[in-house]
Amino acid sequence: MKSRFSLDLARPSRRHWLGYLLLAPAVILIGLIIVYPLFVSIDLSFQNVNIARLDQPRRPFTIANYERLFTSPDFWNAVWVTLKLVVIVSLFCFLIGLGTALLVNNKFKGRSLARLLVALPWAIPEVIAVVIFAWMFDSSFGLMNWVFITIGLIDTTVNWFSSPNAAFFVVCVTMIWKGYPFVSIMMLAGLQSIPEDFYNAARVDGANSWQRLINITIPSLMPVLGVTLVLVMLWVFRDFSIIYVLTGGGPLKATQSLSIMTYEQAFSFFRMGYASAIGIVTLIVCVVASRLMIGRAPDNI
Amino acid sequence: MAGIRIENVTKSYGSLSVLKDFSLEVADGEFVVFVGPSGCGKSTMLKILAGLEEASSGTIRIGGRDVTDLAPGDRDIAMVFQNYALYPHLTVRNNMGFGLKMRGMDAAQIEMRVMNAAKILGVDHLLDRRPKALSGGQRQRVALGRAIVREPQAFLMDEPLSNLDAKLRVHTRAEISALHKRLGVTTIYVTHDQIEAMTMADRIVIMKDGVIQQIANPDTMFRKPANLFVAGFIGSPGMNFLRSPVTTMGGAAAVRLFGHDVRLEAPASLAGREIVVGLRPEHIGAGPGPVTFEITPRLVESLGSEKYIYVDVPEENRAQIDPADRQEEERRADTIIARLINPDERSAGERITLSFDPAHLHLFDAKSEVAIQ
Repeated sequence: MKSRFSLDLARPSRRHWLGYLLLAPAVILIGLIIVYPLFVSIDLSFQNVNIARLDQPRRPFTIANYERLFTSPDFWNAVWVTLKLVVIVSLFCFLIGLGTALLVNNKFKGRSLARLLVALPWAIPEVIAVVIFAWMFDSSFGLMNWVFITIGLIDTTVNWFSSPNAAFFVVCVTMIWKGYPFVSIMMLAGLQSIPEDFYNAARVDGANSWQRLINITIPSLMPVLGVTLVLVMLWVFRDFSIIYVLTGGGPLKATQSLSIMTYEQAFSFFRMGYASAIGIVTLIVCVVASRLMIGRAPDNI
Repeated sequence: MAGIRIENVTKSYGSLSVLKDFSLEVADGEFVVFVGPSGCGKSTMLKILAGLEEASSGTIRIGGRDVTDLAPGDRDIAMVFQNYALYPHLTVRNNMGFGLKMRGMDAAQIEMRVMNAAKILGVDHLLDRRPKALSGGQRQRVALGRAIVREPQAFLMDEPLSNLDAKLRVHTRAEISALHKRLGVTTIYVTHDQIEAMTMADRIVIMKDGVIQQIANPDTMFRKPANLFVAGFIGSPGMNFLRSPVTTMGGAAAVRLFGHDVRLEAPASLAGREIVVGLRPEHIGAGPGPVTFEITPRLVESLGSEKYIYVDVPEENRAQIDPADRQEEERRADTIIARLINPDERSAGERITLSFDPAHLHLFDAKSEVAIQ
C-alpha cells in the first residue's frame, strides 16, 4: 500500500500539478534573468542614478530622465537611425529571403547544397561575420574598394567608416547579409506547406507564373510572413554587436541606434538611470509594433 | 464542347513505365470513367490530359486541336481536384471567378457567370464565405462551380467524391450525373470505386498497371468482362472464381464443380484446358435449380434485405488468383459468396441447398486470364 501522502501525479485530479512542476524551471529562470532585471530597469529609469548598485538606498522618484530624453536631439537621431535601419534591413531581408527561398524550392540537382549555402550566413557567429565585413570594407586594403574600382563604380578608394552615409550603408549590408537566411528558412518552410494542387488548379485556370506568385504563393505565405517580419524587425531593433563592432555608432552618430545609445549612456558615460529610460522606451516601441503586426496577421488560414 | 482523342500515350519515369500505350476516343458530351486500383496510372493519364504532366510519347487532341504540348491554361479544360484545391484566402465568389479573372474577363461578366454557376449548384448563399467556413459537401460544390464557370471544352475530375462521407457521396454522385446531363460537357472522371464507375459512366475504362483492361459501357462490363481482373473488379461482392479442368460431356465442354459435372455452353474443343469459372454471388440461388448442391455455410452475414452466405470450396476447385487484384476485402480462394435476396432465416452450421444456372458461368483461361467467349 502506498502512503496517503504520496505524490501520485498520474491521478487525473492531480494531472495539472505535473504541468506546473514541469513549467517551473523555465518560469523561474525567465523570472530571474528577464522579469527581475526589467523591473529593476523600470525602477532605475525613474531615479537619477549614475552607477547602479543594488545595495544602495533608492534615490527619490523623478521623471527627469524621460524629460531629458524627449528633448534630446541625440535621442531623436537614434530613433531616426533605428527606424531607417528597421525599414531598409527588413525590406531587403524579405526580398532576398523570399527570392532565395523560391529559388531553392525548385527541384534541381544539388538542391540540398544550395539550401545549405543559403542558410550559411545565419550559422556564422555574429561578431566573426562582422569582423570579416569590417576587413572587407577596410579603406586601404579592403576587398570592396578593389571590387568597386575594378568594375568602375567608383574611381578613388572610399573611406567606408568615416563618411556617415557610407558607414550606414556598410551597417545595412552587413545586417542584411546576416539577416536574410532566417527569412529564407522561414519562407522555405512556408512554401513547402502550400499544397501542390493549389498550383495545379491555378495552372489549369490559366494563371502564369507571376500570377501564381501574386495570387497563391504570397497570400499562402501571409501567416508566416507576418510572424517572420515581427521577428526580423525586433532583431534589427535590438541588434547591438553588428553596429558596435563595425562602427561603434559613429561617425557623427550616423549609425547610433537606440541599443547603441543605451549602451553608450550606461557603460561609457555611466548614466544608468538615463540609459534605463532609453531601454524602456525602446521596449515599449517594440511591444506596440509587434502587437500591431501580429494583430494584423490574417486569421483566415 | 468537344471530343477528346488520346493516341498511343505512354508515360515512364526513368525505367518505371506507368502508362503503356494508352489510346482512347471520347465522343463529344460523353461521360467516361477511368477506374482501377491505386497505382494503375489513371490519375497520371488525367494529369497528362490536363497538361500538368508531360507524356513520354503519343498525342492528345481536344476538339480536333493537338494540345499535346500546350500549357494547362491553353487547353480549355477545367479540373476538379480530390482535395478541391480551393484557395483559403479567397471567398467562394473569388475562388469561382479566379480562372476567368486570370483570363482577363471584365468584372461584370465574371460576376454574372459566377452567379449563374452558383445558382445551378445551390451555393449562391455562400458566395461571401471563405472555404474554411464551408462543409465538405459545400466545398465540393464550389470546386465543381469553379470548373463550370469557365464553360470549358471538357471537365476532368480526379476522385472528386473520395473526401466525402458515404451518404453524401451517393447524393453527390447523382448530382454530378444530373449536372453532366444538363450541361452536356465531355467529362473524364477518375475513381477507384467501381460503384461510382458503374453508376455514372457512359463508358468505363478499366486499367491495371498502366494497361487498359477493357473499355465498355457499364452493362457490358458487368455481363462480359474481358478478363479475370475486370470480372473481379466490377460488382460487389466480387465474382467468385472456381478452377477446374475441362472434360467433355455429351458433345459439349464440361467442368466439375462441387462434385457435380456441369455441362457448359461451350464447344468440346476446350477439353483438356485448365480454366477458371466465374460465378457472380447473385447468380447463386437458394433451393434447387439446374445445378444443385448442398453445403454447410461457414458464415452467414445478414444485411437485412439480403444475406451473404460464405461457402467452403472443395480443394479441387480452388483458384489461385492474386488477391492484390481485388479491390475490396481480400477474398480467399477457399471461399465463395452466395448473395441471397430476401432469404429465410438461416444461420451458419445448418445445411442448406444452393443452386446455379450454368448459363451464368463466365469462363476464363487459367493461364492467360482472358475470357473465353
